[in-house]
Amino acid sequence: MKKMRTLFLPILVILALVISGCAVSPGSGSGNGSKKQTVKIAFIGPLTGGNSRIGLGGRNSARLAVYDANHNKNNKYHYELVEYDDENTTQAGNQVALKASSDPSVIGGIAHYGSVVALATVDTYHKAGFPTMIWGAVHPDITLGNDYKEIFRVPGTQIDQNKQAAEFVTKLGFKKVGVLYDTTDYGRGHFKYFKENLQKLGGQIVAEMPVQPDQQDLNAELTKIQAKKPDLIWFAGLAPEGVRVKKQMDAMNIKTQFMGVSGLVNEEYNSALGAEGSEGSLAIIDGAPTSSLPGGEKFMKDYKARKYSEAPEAYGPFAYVSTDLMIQAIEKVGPDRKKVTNWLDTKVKNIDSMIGKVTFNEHGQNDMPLFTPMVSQDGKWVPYAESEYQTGKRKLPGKK
Amino acid sequence: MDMIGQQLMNAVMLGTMYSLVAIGFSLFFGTMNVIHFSHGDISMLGAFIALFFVPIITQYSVLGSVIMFIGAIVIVAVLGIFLSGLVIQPLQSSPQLYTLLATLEAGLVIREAIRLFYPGGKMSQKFPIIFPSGGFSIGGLTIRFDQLFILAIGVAVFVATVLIVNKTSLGMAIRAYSQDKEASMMMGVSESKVIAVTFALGSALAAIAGILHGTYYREVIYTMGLTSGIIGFSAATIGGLGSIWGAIVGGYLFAFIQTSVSAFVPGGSEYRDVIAFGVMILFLLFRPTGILGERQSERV
Amino acid sequence: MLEINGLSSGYGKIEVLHQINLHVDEGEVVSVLGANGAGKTTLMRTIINLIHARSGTIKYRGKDITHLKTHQIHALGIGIVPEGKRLFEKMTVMENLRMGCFLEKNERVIAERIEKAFDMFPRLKERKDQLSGTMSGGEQAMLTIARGTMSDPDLLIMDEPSFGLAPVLINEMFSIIKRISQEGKTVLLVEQNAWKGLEISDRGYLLQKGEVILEGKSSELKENSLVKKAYFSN
Ligand SMILES: Nc1ncnc2c1ncn2[C@@H]1O[C@H](COP(=O)(O)OP(=O)(O)OP(=O)(O)O)[C@@H](O)[C@H]1O
Ligand SMILES: [Mg+2]
Repeated sequence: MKKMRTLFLPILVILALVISGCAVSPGSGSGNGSKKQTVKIAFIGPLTGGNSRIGLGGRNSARLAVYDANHNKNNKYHYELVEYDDENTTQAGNQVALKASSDPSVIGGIAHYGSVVALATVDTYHKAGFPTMIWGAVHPDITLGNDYKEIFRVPGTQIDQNKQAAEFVTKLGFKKVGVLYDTTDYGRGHFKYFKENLQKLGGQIVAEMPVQPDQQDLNAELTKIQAKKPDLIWFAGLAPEGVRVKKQMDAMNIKTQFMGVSGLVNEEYNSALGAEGSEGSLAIIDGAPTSSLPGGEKFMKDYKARKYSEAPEAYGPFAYVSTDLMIQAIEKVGPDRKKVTNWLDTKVKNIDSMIGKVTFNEHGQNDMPLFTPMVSQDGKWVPYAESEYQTGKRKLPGKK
Repeated sequence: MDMIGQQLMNAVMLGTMYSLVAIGFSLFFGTMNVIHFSHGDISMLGAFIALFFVPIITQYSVLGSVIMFIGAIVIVAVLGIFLSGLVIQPLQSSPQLYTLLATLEAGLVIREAIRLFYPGGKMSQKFPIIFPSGGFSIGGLTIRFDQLFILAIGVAVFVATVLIVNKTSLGMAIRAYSQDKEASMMMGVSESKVIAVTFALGSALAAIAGILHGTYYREVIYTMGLTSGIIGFSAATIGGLGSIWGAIVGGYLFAFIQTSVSAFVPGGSEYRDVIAFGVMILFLLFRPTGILGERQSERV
Repeated sequence: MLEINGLSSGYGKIEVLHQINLHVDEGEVVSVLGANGAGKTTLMRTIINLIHARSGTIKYRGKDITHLKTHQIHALGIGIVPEGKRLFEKMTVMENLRMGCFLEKNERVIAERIEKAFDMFPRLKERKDQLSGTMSGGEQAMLTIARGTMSDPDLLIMDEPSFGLAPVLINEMFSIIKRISQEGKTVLLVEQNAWKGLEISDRGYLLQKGEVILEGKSSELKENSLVKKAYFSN
């Protein structure tokens, strides 16, 4: 009996290793029926975990771009999307970045939602000469902080985003802002540019609390912020942490207006809090809501037709455009990483896309200073300008 | 002043949850000389098992909450016994390192099981509000009803635990066993019963901590036991492993340090864990047997 | 009452006891003698299954107890005064006594037994709230004996109860063992103090290197040269 039990331990250990080892599983692309040469493109994003809604929305949008390309008779190649889960962690991110970029049959990547992850992997892509389109991460340094030719980005940066966020906040009349930001580069980056811009406009940061992204208890921080009587609590971090902040604010009966950054615009935020908890929360996103984009309507129609089980979410259109640009490059110069990089580097000027014109500057960064403030209304993120808060029918919870 | 009071309350909440986990570490070490590294995950399991009872809880339903508490506690207590039979007792005569590894692995298995098999287990799960919301103010200090409930349950559980260990014959058996295993068996104490009771008790307390955590923060996630496990272990260690009061004192001390750093050091939140653990290490350098530990560390 | 047949046991690879045959009858006081390291303690511990028997059987009142757990053996009515006292040092005298009758749930009975123990060792009454670990060696020896009798056992197994006692107290202790025996209890006694042990016992066994090399009436053993040798050659 005792022997049996001691035997159990190694089994347990093996089981545990097996379970923890099988977390990464690349998916498959769309079907291949033609005689064209098949070209592989990688999609990398959070397919599991707290940010998976955004990741799956981006993945579906990339799939849609591949589908559209494969149904375009004029195209020379057949495309296959190889999907990787970065779990929105640097550890998994580095692993899949290496896996994708070291596979010579994969020509380029559509990568990352998390800035922290992207900052950690750009070196890998550069070393591998792997053209990469960042589809959802917004930290400026991902493109601006290096001279890597291989890194491109369609969405805007935190610098632009927070300039507009500060203007929005000021316009709404919020002057005293209490800040919580997570201590990753993502949170710090946002805070740096938000603070700069807010102060330029005469606003005041009355409390600033850096918190670790996995910190559960925020009561001490919120108590301290609340003691400064701010008229806005602004949080720089991703949706799962934002949910935590808002839940604890509610538990503490803090009625102050809550606002987040683009990372908060995730339907996960609304569903985790419920319509009651999320109502009136503010945030800002890159670009515009899909419906008001130049090619938005067609995109939504096609997306629906494909019957994906997840919504495109805030960054779906960017993932679509990124994939589309990558495919355009391959069509023009063939499946060659170096040539694709060069084409993207030099030829993307004023190209029409479903999100409008795209122009990559010398850092591969799209100069597209378009952002849209959002508000959570009835459990959904909607553009503030189109909301009942704009019309005055509803009042923000923090407004007297 | 009200700021200090408010922060004190924040710390007391944290401390209550830490202490409930810490007591288990102390009990297990006191009686069996093991450090049960999956204990934090047992606490997490308590919260998730409680979620199974959610359909019967309408907001603030007293009966529903009671059923949820008791149901989760009983199930986790039984699982605790099962776990001790699986990974701790079979290794009792092996080197300590084996037990350590086995409990670490068990924790991993528990976490992965929730992550993979609980619907949507990778994400935070909404936890029901089981105490009345709202609160009252006295002299600028706002006290929430849920805080009062958590504190009351915590204190009641501490007192009950101390009474069980010090005043009941079961508790006497545990203490006797922890002081001299063989002698206690010569007096009629059943070893397997003592181990079962110890694990049931420790695991039940962890489950309570998990449920309180859930309702206080209104969400639970499969990794929550990692933090509470490490902090619970540290708290039990500085309190003096084996001492129940020590574990309680250690839990509150840890919470007070963390909260003070967050609240009173500018930008301190970022370093609150580093500082809290640092203080713990310093403490152990000067008092290796912990605050309430005696020369050879008082046992249970 | 206690019947041991062909019992062997040991530690790890070493077998210490070889084919021991021994019996204790109802009402007897039986001494186990032997030099240091002869295996006396090993025998006592094997009887209560703190060391597992490798072969042979142990029967108590006709029931095979060879593979029962220690606490189950105790529950059959066997009290133990272990070698090296083994008190619960972080407990008070009172608590130690209560542990002695851990299985007794009747408070009145417990109170009576405690009274009786205090009667036997008035010294313990004075120290009833003292932690046992802080008592003197002699007091601890008294408490160990008192604790062993608390369960009102039919068979009392004692391993060197006089160890560490002053000569005056040793005499007192032997009269107490005698008294216990006169109350109708059966005693299996290991005593360093062989002569004294034999004086109060009916029969005795001499162990040497884990084997019984001699058994007989105490009066005969006292005269036996082997016994003398065992206790003086070491
Ligand atoms: N835990 C142990 N591991 C290995 N050997 C042991 C152990 N305990 C005792 N022994 C050995 O078993 C033999 C018998 O020891 P035991 O304690 O039974 O002797 P004893 O007759 O009680 O001696 P004493 O009169 O000194 O108490 C000795 O050789 C001793 O070294
Ligand atoms: Mg001996």
